[in-house]
Amino acid sequence: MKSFFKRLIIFLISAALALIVSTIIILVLNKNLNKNCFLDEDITSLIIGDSHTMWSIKDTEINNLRNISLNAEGYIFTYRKLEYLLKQTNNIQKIYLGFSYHNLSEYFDDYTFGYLSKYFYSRYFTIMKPSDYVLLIKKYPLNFLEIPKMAFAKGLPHIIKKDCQIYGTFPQERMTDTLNYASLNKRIQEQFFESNGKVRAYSKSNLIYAKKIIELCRENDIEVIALSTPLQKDYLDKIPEQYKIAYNRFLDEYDLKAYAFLDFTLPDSCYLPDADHVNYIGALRTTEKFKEYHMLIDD
Amino acid sequence: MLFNSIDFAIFLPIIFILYWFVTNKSLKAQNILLLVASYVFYGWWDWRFLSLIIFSSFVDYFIGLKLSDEINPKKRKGLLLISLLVNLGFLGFFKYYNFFIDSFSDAFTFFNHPIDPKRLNIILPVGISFYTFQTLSYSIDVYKKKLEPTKDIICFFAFVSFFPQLVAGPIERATHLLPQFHKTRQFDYDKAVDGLRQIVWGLFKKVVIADNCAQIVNQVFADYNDFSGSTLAIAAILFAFQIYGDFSGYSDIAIGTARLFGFSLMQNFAFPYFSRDIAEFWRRWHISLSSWFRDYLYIPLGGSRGNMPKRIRNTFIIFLVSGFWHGANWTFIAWGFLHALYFIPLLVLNKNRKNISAIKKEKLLPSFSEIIRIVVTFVLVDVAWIFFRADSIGDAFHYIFNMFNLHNFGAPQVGFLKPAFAISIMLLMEWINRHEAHGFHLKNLPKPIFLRWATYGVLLLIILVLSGESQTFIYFQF
Repeated sequence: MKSFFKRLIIFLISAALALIVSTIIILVLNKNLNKNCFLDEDITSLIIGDSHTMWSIKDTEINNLRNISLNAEGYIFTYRKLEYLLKQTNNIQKIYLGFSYHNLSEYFDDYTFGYLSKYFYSRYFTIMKPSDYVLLIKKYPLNFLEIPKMAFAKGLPHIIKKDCQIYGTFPQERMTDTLNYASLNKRIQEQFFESNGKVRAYSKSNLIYAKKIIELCRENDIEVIALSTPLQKDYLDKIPEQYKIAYNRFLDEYDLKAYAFLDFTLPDSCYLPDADHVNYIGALRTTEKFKEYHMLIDD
Repeated sequence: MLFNSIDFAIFLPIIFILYWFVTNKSLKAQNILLLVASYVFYGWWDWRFLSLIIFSSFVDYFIGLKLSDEINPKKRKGLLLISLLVNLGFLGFFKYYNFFIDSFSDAFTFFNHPIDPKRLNIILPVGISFYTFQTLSYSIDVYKKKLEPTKDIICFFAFVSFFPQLVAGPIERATHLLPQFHKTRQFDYDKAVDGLRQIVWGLFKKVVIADNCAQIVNQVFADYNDFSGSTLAIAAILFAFQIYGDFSGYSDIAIGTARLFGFSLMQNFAFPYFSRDIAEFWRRWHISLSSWFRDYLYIPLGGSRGNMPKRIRNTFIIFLVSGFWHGANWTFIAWGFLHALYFIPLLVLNKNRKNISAIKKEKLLPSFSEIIRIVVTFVLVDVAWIFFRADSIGDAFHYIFNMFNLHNFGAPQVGFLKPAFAISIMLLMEWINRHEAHGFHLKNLPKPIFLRWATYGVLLLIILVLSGESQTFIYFQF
């Protein structure tokens, strides 16, 4: 019995040490590989945000601009991405930050700290700081095993492939589905209401990191503009009034310029079923409209 | 609590240490510890479930004692009937009440006399199908005088609720497991280490194979009309491995855990997907259930004695009841019916006892004809699994039709490399160990200790890195 315990403990300690050491090695190697996430020298404007900006602006149509938005990206990840990027390049003069009503909602915290967080931490693994993991484990203690898992599952392939996982691109897939009212209602419910019908609270994480993003840009003399992509009329009407007030209050508080396509109407056929994303046709039109605005303020 | 949870990872070492270091001087103390631990384990899901298992245990304990004192055959039969009614009554109510209500309602509606019976909001107690059959084996064996009833109430209650196998088997026989509670257990180093190996292997099958397959299977079966034939075929194959990984993985963890405490449980799966015919499949799949039905239903019905029509009748009854045991849905009955159809030709041609042992150990690979038979058997089993998994018989037929519909032919629409890789590792390991008790046996591992430890480490790393999104054990719903 004693021999059993002795060997078991020695094995578990050896295995744990081997895991910790190899995780650290993979982490270090990954940090050095981030140089593969580069931007062309002529890029002076960026769009950052989540799926709303990712799927609505086709950056290949606009000179000197790159859209690096990634779907479901919470602002903590956007901030880390920006920190990393600004260390690499001095050429950025303007950043369009995807910022709309849904970004204020606490449902985003599921992606950042909740049950879905492990997927997103694994995506941004190469740029997250140790303090981010401490925060993750504090909020969701069972995630401590996710760190070595991420190291092997994401970090090892990254070392082999040397790809850049943190910059998004306009999707290759042509999303042609159109508005569906059942999806619209489900989306509104999910983003703005709790299961008991109460309006959801705001996301502390997103508000804190949105502020940090703005401050980071201004520290680096980069103009930051809030960009809210087109929203279908019925979807817009169903957003709780307090979110609209909070949105405007945030813009005022941080003296943030905003472009919300208010002078631009898309037909229902240009929206995806959930009504808060545009489909491919909607994206082409939105890109054209955005291009006009971008060139106007660039002049 | 789930085996693949932090709760269990904390629970098990605590009970293990208490068992071998604190209560080891007294058999009674060890049994009490196991009983308390088992109730904590079971009550972790829902403490209300405990009332049912405790009541069931009381009924069968006292009936056992009465049976030993009673010599009047009619009264003895009456006592057995009480045990059957109580146990099967609870099972029938919790599991099948709403099914029967809905089926009657559908039948009346079909004949244009709709009724609106009251459905009940019933929570199915976890493991009720398993421990009910386990306690019934006690009552029946005592009635048949194959087993002396126990007077030790702690032993009996611990036997009924033994936590490693309480919620999803193996369904143990009282003649095999109960005597182990009466004997002093000695710590056996080799058995404990092999038990740990079996636990790790079970975890691999559950969290790597089953949970990864489940993500694709759930997606495809939920919207099967949106997927190509090849995708449907892939999902069907993956379901076969999901249910195998899930259920045999759980059994491996249960058996391995029991071994840590000095108990020996029966083998529940003997590498069934290497079977060369359906009869062999049923000697290797969920052995504890199929042998229970053989001994307590098939043989009393006459078994293989009597004329062929009677034997065919008995075969159908067993497979239909087996299907029904799995759940309150016509799909499970259809699944059982299909297996009966597969089995009957072998029975009629007297070929149902052809492949008793696994393919010879000396053979590196199966022969070409064996491969063909293994594949054919797998395809037949997999078609039946479609009924098992589908929400309705209609959905199952549509699924199969879409799968073979040439107009629906197209490239696979799901990424299946990760589960395919994991399944290949599993099949290789289980092929090598097909004559052993489980797929991660010592005999075929490297001899030097550091190499063996490296092998364990690699498997644990694979479990950590390749684990899928946690899914409920499929058989918990039974």
